[in-house]
Amino acid sequence: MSEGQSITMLLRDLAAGNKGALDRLMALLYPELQRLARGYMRNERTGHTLQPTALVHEAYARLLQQDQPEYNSRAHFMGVAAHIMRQILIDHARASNAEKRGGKAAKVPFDEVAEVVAERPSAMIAIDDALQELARRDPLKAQLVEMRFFGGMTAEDSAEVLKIPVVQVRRHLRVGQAWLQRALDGTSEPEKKN
Amino acid sequence: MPHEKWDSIQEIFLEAADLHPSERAVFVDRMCSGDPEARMEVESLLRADATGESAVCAAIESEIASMLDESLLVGVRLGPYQLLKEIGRGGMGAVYLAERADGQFQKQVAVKMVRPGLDTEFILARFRRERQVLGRFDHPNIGKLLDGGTAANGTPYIVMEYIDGDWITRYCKSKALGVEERLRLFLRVCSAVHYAHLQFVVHRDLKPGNILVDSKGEPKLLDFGICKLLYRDQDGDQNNTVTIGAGLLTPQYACPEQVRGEPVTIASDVYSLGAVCYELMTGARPHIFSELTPQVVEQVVCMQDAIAPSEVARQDNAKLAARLRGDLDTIILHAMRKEPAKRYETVERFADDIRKHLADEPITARPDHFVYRSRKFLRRNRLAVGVGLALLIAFAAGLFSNELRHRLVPGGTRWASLPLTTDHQLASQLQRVELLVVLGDSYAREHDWKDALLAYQQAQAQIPNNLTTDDPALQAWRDRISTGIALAQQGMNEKK
Repeated sequence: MSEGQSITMLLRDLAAGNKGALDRLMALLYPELQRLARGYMRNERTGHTLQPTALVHEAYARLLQQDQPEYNSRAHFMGVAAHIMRQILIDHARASNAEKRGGKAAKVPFDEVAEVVAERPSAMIAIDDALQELARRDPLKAQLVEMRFFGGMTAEDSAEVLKIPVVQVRRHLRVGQAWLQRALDGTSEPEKKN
Repeated sequence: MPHEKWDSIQEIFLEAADLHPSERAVFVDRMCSGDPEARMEVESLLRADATGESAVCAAIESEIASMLDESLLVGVRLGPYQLLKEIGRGGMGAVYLAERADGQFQKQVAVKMVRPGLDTEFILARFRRERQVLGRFDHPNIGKLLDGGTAANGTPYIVMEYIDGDWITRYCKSKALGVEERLRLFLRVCSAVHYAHLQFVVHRDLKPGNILVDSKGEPKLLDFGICKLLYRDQDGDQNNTVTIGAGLLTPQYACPEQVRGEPVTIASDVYSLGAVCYELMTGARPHIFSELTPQVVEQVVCMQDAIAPSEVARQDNAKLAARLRGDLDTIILHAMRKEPAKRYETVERFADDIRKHLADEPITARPDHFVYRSRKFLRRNRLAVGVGLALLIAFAAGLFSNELRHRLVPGGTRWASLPLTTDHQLASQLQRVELLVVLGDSYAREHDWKDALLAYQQAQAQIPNNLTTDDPALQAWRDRISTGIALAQQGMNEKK
């Protein structure tokens, strides 16, 4: 069975409400997306900024081009891919943050932390923290925002995956986006240290 | 927050967001009357809604860019160098461990990639000029600049000697070195900085992270002149200046003129070395910042005096405090004086004082506000101290300035014929004039008219106004400076 076929089947299972399919799908997609993300730039990077959306679409095109699953599956794929993109990016942000602290966070004396913070606070970590907090308060909105920013999904795509009216998706998104934006504004102020 | 309340906040927000901005305030007032918390929530959401989503997108894109940058570069070949792994990342960009792929040498090198977004043209132009000087550097305590170029995508890179070592501060701590051993290590650092100064290269970013001690116990300075390669100074770009002051420079070791974005001279390196020495002696940084904003950094660095090293040590190490009190307090704080002109004139003089201290000879620096402190001392001990001690102190101060005058203005130097009213401050000011003129000349030789003009102008400003002597030596320097300024101005006009 080709990778594409197994992904298609998992997507179908997922659409049918099989929760176990999600884990398997993610395990399959994470390395794929990561590889794709890394390979993508090698060839096509020439000055333009890359959006996660482009990566997710690219992944979809490469992994599923032969299978041409129905719209429903495509939307599901996007939703899962968006979540994985977020995971890949936050893993990277946290790893490079730890690296900046010498790779052995516990060993670095407290007073050196201020120096590190001054260098480059990761806005990605702030976004992830904010999304987690939003998820605790309002999981649906967090999911929609994730689909929007990390998967480039339209309100229609999300409505299809989550089986809720598009109008409602739009309302949730507006609140969720403002919420995230607000959380980010708060962190753009310099952190208090020392 | 209860669910119902969050729901109602959302409803109010969504409804208000669809209204014309002029109608929102009244609407929110009416809906949230008596509930300031809800009102604040709604208002902050409305503000965020109005700013759009660009910050979120930008953050995600920059994370992707940084991830791809790394993966892009490891394994990549730049000229003869194969990048092996990322070993550091800072304000300027990422540093990679690399080795020559052409089999010519086995040697491992460090490759510093310049962060995208910095002014590439400027860096390359400057690099071509500086590499001549930096490439010639040959000092056992300076990491060598080996090469430089541009990657296929246009990113400039710099190749340096790879030094497998630890920060000098961590090294001293892990080896539990004593005060004297630390000072001897520090003296070698000073000799490297002085060596560079003699070739008119200022480091500008001296800090423990740039001073590594290798496995043989040899300190090695990194990034000499690199800071200058990467950043313009004094080109009127305020944003640039602020970023350097607060973000990219390490505020703990940056001197007042640096955080203010003023021209950087060898005096700046003297200050930074003072701050490093402070940390080597006490384990603490000289300054604590409540926040790392440009305003707070400037306020602290420019206005607050560092606590004397012995006072820092006093809290948990009385023996160390006693060792630092006196000479070492004086030496370190003298190097870290706020006014560049009041610091040691050169790194060599700083080092000299440390050597004198180690040899139990009298040091040349005097404590800040010497008279003030003596007065305070006398006041504190009014009953115990008699007139005798007051006289002794006065005598010591007088003796000192005599001794120093002879030291700084020995017979036969260019300033020798100056009137005997010459005091310590004047002598150092005149030395500074000399240094600045020489610096101006070196810029002029490189046709860097802007920097040359700046140096000459500074030199001019250093000649005290109240010096009314018509001593021929001084007049010669004045003429020399005027000529230099005219030349530099002419050069700048021709460039235009």
